[in-house]
Amino acid sequence: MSQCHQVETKISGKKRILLLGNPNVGKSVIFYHLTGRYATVSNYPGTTVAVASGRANFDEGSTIIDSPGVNNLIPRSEDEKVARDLLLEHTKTVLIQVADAKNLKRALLLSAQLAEAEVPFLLALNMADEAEKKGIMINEKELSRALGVPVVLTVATQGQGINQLKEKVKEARPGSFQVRHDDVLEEAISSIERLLPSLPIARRSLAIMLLSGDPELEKWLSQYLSAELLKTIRKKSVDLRSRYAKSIAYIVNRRRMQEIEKIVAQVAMVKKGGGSPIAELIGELSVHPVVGIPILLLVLYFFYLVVGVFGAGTVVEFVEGVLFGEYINPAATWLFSLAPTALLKDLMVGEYGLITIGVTYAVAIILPVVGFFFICFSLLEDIGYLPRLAVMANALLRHIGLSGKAVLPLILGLGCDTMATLTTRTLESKRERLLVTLLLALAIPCSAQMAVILALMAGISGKATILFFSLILINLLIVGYLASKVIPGQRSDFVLEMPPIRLPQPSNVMIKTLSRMEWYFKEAVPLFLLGTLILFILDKIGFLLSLERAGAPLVQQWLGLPAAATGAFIMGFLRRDYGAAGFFRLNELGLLDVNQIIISLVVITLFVPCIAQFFIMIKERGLKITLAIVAFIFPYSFFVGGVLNFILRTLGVTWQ
Amino acid sequence: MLEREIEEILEALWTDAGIEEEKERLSLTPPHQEESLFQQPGMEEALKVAEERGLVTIRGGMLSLTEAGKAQARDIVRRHRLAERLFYDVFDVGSEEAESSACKFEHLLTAEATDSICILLGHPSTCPHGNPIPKGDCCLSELEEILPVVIPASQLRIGEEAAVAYLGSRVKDRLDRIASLGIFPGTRLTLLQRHPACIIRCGETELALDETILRDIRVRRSTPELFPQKTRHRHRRRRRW
Repeated sequence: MSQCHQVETKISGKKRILLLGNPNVGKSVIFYHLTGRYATVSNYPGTTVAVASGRANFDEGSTIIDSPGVNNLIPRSEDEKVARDLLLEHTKTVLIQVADAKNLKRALLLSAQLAEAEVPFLLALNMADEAEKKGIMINEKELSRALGVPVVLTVATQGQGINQLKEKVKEARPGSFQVRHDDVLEEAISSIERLLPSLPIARRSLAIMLLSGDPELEKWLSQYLSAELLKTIRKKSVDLRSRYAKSIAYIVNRRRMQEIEKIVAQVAMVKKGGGSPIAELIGELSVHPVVGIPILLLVLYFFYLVVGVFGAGTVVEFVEGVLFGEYINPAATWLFSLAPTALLKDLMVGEYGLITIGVTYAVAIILPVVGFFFICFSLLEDIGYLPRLAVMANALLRHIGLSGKAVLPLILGLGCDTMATLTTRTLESKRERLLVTLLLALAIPCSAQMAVILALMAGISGKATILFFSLILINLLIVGYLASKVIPGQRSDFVLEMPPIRLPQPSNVMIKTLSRMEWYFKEAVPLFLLGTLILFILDKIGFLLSLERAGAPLVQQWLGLPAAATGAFIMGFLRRDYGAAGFFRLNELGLLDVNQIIISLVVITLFVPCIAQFFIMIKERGLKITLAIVAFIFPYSFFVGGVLNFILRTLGVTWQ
Repeated sequence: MLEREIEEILEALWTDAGIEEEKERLSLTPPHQEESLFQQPGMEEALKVAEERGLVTIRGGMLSLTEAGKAQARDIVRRHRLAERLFYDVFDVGSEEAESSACKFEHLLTAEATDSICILLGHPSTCPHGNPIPKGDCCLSELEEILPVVIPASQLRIGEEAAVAYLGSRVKDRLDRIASLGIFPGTRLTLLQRHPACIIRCGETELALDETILRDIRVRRSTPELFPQKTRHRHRRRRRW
């Protein structure tokens, strides 16, 4: 997730240690222990979407790479492809397979594929404490013998077994656990093997992937093989597939599982009756069709209390009102009043001053809100509530063509839409990624924007607040529903692993929050200052004024807002919250009535995404789709605003 | 002697004349002469016998099924498609092979054996090609005390544990996904809840998934309960939703 950790994938000569494993087994925590760096750590499958890398803290010459979770080396979603490609691209790679000790069979399914690929690896059986609590005893020496690679038991969250893991990295070697398939399949495998060149991973492994049908791999191989040869391979696999009722991937995995069952029977013992009954009960209730709903509402209310009331209220009041309002800004104003030119003074502390507006908003208003949002989010993640939230949301999201999994990006969007757009990679179909990207751009206010909205709403009526949120939700559902009808394709299957409910680990929550804050700071704050600077320049050259004049008919006639509101909309494109902040200021100046506030906030929320999100959208979805989305959102938001204006006026709605 | 041919005729009438689509009549001289079933050796005689037995009527070069013929045809088609399912799902042979094996197998099956297969497979509703399988007596009495041995996992009772018999998915990728989560024939799983999404436990993993996926996982009940009313309270079940 953390973009800033993204590195070039080819560093020549250096040794690479790649962390690989099923989703949600603790790779990122282990990454932290091996490098001292934060990758985003969570109790939610699929939160690592970008690759994090860092220098090993026990071996200067090695680079540690964290990868998104995979269940199979044949990728199904973009993040799985990222992990597999890491394996394909590198020579000199050592792998640490991180596994959930509670889920040995599933882990070994991956081990079997690694052994087949003949890459040197070792196995870290993580969450050994949870396994023990559940009564699962694993004999790691026996397992090591069966697999032919070192096996280490770890409890990453507490740092247990980490030192041993570091030592054993040297002993990593290709596994001896090889599975033989039926004769027909074996013959097909060896006939393809013969056609393949020498590559970083074993030919046998590649042959099986090809037979299973892996268009991405074929694409990759086209740089080494002639089109003719690829055609031969494709023909062989089609021939083979017709001989089985089930897919080759399935046949292959089932055979592997048979061998794995034998190993597990030897090395693992299960005593019944483990597990924490209270945690289990909470887990059960949180997905209860009836009880689950009040729990969900309670969680949302908790979010509102911490982020909305405490963060956006108390903390912002203190930091903005007292710290900045009474000390920093007056001090800065005094300091720059000594400046030689009026221009410099305006630039720093003027109407669009870098300090009075840029830094003040970024640090005094946005930061507390984003910070508290990330703390709450990380807390829920660590507890393991998020997948359960996805289960609860599944029923609702189904109606807008999404699976419950899409709830993670949507909720994360309430923190930062840009970051959320990045996490759409965890969704499996192109269609879902597109839908979620659209909804994020359209109807999910980010926490910064939310902060300003809440602050603005706090001054007026509660009914207006409810009206505002209902309008946004209705728009989300309507557009989602319509888009799901228009965009071709099927809703993808909803399959999500439920991690056990855990007591949150303060250190984990802290690591997660910090890594997200760090990301936010690097991504958002510079843009914030840049935005202020652009505004300053636009204002100075008089462009703002002419744009305001040009947009005035639309803003004044159609939306019924004062002309000055045009400026706020322009700002809204630079940062979502910035637009809302513009209205906040207009309100402070007494230029808006309640109806106008509602209209302006609805439009600014639906309005085009901020510049950072816009760039990420281009990166993730491509320029064409991004422009199409913006081309839809822009008129749509003004259309809704106009209609709302018409309705409120016609009905003559007034607020006390 | 002629039984096989007669059955072929009835089956052809059911499928080609489109009983399923309510057309019911088939021309004795179809446009594609060379493909015609009726040009094959022995068919002329078979047709005669079938008419004598009151299974088909021939009028103006058009062939149609009588009521008795329909009943028998229905039965044959049912046998054929169940046999296909058996070869395809349980024996894992490719669809063409399943088809040709089923063609031979269908003539050997007794009514009792057919129902047994139907029960074993959990009363499947379509053949591997997606054509409907006519319901048999066993399907209609599904609510009776004799519960099918193999059922879709979605029909498990809450808290009930069962072993996966086979995976019957035709949806692209679904099978591979289920498999990569470690669910294979023989894997034991327990249905924990149905709403708002189905949750199953298999091993130490809890998985939330759509009901449509569970329908593709056919499981074998560990204790086929002959009298479910009596045993309903025997298992301690914590989840009831």
